[in-house]
Amino acid sequence: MKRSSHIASLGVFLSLAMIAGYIETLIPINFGIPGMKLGLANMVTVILMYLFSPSEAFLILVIRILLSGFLFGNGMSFLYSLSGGILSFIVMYLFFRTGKARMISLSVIGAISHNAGQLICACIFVSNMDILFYMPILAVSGIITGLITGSLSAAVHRRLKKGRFSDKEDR
Amino acid sequence: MNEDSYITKKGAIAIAIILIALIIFSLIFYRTRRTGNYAVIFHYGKVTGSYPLGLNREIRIKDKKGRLTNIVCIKNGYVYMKEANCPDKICIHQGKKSKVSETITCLPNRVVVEVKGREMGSFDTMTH
Repeated sequence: MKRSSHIASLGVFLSLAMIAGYIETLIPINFGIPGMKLGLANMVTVILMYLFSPSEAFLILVIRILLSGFLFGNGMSFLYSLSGGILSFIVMYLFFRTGKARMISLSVIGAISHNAGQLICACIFVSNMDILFYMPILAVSGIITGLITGSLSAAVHRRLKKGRFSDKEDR
Repeated sequence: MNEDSYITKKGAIAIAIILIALIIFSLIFYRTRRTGNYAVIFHYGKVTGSYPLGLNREIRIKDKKGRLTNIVCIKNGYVYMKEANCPDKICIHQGKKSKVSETITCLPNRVVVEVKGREMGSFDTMTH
């Protein structure tokens, strides 16, 4: 009973992550800097990490990237998402493990490392180190978008904790 | 994790300091270091060619009647206007260019040379 409802909630979060990733493409915040975006889908990863567990957050992250890659993306965008997503998860997880991580700081760190992961992937594919020139501006944009999505995640998490997902009773 | 706090004071201060430091760093970084990889030549608003800055060469630009109007020279990573038949020679005096989005303009002959970075393709347009 509890187990199945838990799986169902994971499914809801997965669809939420996918639709967040899609909505993001509708928001034109491109300031001529390739790879710059809001990172709404990362909110779900961050929330899940605190609400459930890092392993479930990772599961949802990978499935989300795979599904959106097959549904909307092409080969390249899939690889960029995957490299950014995996690197940001690893960094966020290590930070989370210290036990001192707060949600907004975690989100900022995740956003920066996501941008870094994508840029490293791009460097490998075009075999051109010059595009690392974009890193400082991507780091700045990562901090700003990470603050925005982190605050949003905190607001969502606060409400979720009060409601159905309070404590561990649902697991 | 404390009850209702999603960021610590320390964390907020650290993020603010890093953000300010990064902004200052990138301002200095982008003003001083971003050199371009190729020069794009526009003639009457149309791209007539792009040439890597790493390869020394001269590009001769002719007008519609076939007369030679400008000679663009690429040498040692810089691009400059070597010769022009226009009266004021402003384009020649604009000097050597190598940084991204710097331009040399020869208005009478409608020649614009722009330095660009390498094209990156669109990365991550669809998924996150």
